[in-house]
Amino acid sequence: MYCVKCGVRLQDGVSRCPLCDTPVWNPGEPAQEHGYPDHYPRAQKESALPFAVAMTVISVLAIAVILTICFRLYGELRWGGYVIGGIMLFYCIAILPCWFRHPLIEVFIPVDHAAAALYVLYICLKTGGRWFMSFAFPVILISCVLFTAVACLLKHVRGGRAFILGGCLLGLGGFTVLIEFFQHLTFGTPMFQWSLYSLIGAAVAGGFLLLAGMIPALRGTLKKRFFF
Amino acid sequence: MECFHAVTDGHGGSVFLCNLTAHYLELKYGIEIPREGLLLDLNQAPAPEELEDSFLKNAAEVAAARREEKSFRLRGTPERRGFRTLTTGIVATQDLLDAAHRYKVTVTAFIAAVMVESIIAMQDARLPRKRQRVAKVTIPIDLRRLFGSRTLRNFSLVLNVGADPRYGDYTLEELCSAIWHQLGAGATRQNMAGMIAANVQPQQIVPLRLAPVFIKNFAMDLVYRRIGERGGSLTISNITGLPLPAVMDPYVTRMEFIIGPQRSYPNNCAILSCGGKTYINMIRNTRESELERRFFSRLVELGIPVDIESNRRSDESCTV
Repeated sequence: MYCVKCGVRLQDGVSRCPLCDTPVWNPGEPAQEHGYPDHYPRAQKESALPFAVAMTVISVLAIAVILTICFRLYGELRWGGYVIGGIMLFYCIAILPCWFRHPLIEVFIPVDHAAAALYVLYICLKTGGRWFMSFAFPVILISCVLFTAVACLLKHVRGGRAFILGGCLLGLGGFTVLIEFFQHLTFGTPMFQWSLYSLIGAAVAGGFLLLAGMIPALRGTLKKRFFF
Repeated sequence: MECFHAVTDGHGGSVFLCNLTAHYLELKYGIEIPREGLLLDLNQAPAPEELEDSFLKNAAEVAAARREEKSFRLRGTPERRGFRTLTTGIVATQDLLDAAHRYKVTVTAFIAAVMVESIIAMQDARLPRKRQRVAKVTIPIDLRRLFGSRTLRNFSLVLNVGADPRYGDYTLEELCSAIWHQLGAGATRQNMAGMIAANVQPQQIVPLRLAPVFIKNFAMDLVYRRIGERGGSLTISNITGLPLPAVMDPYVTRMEFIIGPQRSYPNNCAILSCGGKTYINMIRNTRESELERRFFSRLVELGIPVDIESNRRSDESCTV
């Protein structure tokens, strides 16, 4: 038998061409009638582009309205700067990835952190503070490195999820200690007030996950208990 | 027989398979098979040349640049549960040779040209010309003939050959000529030695040698993701023929060569000729069969009759 569309010769007994899915008509066989369609159309994945366009227009309009209000009422950007900064930060986190067909998480996590750093820098400069370089910047930088590393490991490394998440929890625990350390450096607050509790909690949870990673039986039990 | 590429390449796998088959036939049928061609004397210890790392031996002093433009990525709906759809196109070897000679190229170059033409047609159906990417296929080159090596370990490299559709339309004749010349220019002893050097030189960097294995594995994985498979759209591997002693011919009715999909290549193509027929095995881990349809239909248009066999799932229709 030959496919009438591709022209290739097919094996006997084949009902459809494996290349183009054209039904093979065998005049020797009686036609089969059935009430259901031969195949169902597959659902197409919807593009997020219209949503991104709409949200961009809304954001631009909102920023324009805020600028108009602030300059008309006060002649300067008072509270408007904070709101506009918040809108732009939200846009970077939630809307910007929608413009890309395959947004890379290992790119967007640093981009979001950079946007957050710029927003915090604006707040610091506006309020006349001196806490950006000694507190906000190192905290945001460490958070960026930690979350980007975890996202890359989860995406690119096959298996070892328990180790990655356990390490992430331990890292988060250490991160809270660092936050308190930078807080102590910048604002003079006492050390180890609250971060020890988060460190202990994270260490226990992270250590448990690392243990689960090393013991296959425990890992299997957790999978059954938590249905994953 | 399934073989991991860390052990050996196509030639080494072929030698193993042929020797395994010969030994099996000797045990089952009691025939005596002469040790010629790919067959080795299993009672003798392997020669040092068969065990050597030819990459280290034949690397140049200066590494060739790896930089290549990113090729068009074939994409599709992933198959469930890791299913692989295998489509075998069986053509008469003489028909293929005649077609290749009409275009004054080798069979590998001809098949690569038809495949590149199919990929360009797929891009034309989806994207405007300016947004298209270069269409290249990856062709493994056996380096043993170039360097006179007898190793049974890995000793092959790949060349990415094709055309850039953004510069204009190509006829099949132009594609055949371009690919044939690219293969000729790339598969030289000097060029290959430079490419070997680019691969082996990182082994000489002391910090890399001292790094723990899991860091090396992670780094190698990242590097491979970045540059390993960006130069081509799929691999076309052609084992031109496995010379077997005449006494084995009555027992060997068919031989096939299949390579699996790769990380960035959902489609792959492997070719082997045996008994006057050429088996073109195209494998994919996606549902859409557009590339196979375009490729085999084009062969039919060029006057090469194709018989198709497939393990396509009978419960669902494929998406074209």
